[in-house]
Amino acid sequence: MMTKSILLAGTIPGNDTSLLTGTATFENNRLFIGKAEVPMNRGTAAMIAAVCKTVQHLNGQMPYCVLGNDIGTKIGSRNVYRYLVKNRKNLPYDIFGLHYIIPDIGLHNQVMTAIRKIDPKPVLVADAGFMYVAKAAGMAANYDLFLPDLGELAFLADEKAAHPAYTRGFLTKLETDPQDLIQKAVMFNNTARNLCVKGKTDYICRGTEILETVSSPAVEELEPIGGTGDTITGMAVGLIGCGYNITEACTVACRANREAGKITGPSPASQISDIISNIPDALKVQLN
Amino acid sequence: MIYETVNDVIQAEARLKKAGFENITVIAPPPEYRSGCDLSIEFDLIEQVSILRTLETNDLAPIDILNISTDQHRPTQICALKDFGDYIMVRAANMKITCDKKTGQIVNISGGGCSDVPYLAREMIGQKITETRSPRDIGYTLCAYTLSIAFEKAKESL
Repeated sequence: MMTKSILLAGTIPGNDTSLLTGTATFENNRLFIGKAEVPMNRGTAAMIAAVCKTVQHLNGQMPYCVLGNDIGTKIGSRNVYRYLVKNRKNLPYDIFGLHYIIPDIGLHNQVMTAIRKIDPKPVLVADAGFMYVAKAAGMAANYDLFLPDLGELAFLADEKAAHPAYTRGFLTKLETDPQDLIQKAVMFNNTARNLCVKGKTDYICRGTEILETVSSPAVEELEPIGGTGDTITGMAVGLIGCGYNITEACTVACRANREAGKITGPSPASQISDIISNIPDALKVQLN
Repeated sequence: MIYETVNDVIQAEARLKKAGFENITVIAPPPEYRSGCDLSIEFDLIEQVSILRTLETNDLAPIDILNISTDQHRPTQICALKDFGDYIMVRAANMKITCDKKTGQIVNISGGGCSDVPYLAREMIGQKITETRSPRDIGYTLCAYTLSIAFEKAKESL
């Protein structure tokens, strides 16, 4: 199997403003970037952990990571944006997984300009803050894959909302009519070429066409657990890195995430690290 | 009133409400002022002098004041509750908070995409919802603002 190189960028909740760069490693269920241990909290760290578990399972390449320490003050986010712009010539990665960050339209657009100069063009996957800012900047169509949950899908479908906090009037449609929201998001050019909508039923789409749905195994308790969307994103990125196409990768990731939940047997008080440790067994079930 | 950060808006709003200005509303700033994660404050022109005096006294003066006539978006205030037996989950827009019904302990925070969400989760999980500070007091972004709406609803519901 042809494996691809992966770059992951985002922020983690550190109090200093330093930038952490390096290849991720995973030892004894602990995540390291270079020599620094990164707690497997929700968010970017959970996404990276899921990528690592997936590529380890499939003998792929471990990801290179660019992480800004940011508790919301924006300094760490700015460091990440600027690193990607400044180092574009040294980032010959096949896949970019872009995650938690404070939206900044101006800096995002500088990143997009820099990434466009990379040849061959990498596969661009965005979730969380990077997805928000791509949509707010009107540049969603430059991306290959977005992975919103239902609330974020409503945001993508609202042509006027600049952030999910401003989403208008769609919340009642979340469970009953996600297809309508998908169509609106595509119609207004506010989504990537592929969409993986995470919810009670997961929808894997290209344009407005729903190619796959995943609804089992059903593990209701996963919904409140912070990071369960991040692990889907991480597994999808890892699977793309191991040669799966985007639709296959998203379908397997959604199924395996549910499977990892089923193996864990969580309560609403469980934490994401419990689920992450069961990703290899879940992938084994889903890929066999 | 335009501010540099969401956190500045949150502080200014809290200060004005405390000072008795009830007719203020937080809204999206006009497009030319947007960076992707922003709030601003709408107020009645008639109160401008007293509002500015209050803010300047507290070192919370805005960076700009605009006279606008178009309707700007307001952050959603709608919450959805989901019962998990011993736990209750409250969702506001893209943010969710889950609490133990008996103890009032916050057991999970999920959703969001801004950088302070993992920080807020680290600070708040394990705390009693009645004893911990609101996300709007310790967070910085619109995700923190939205989480505070779910936080208040969860507090009411327990």
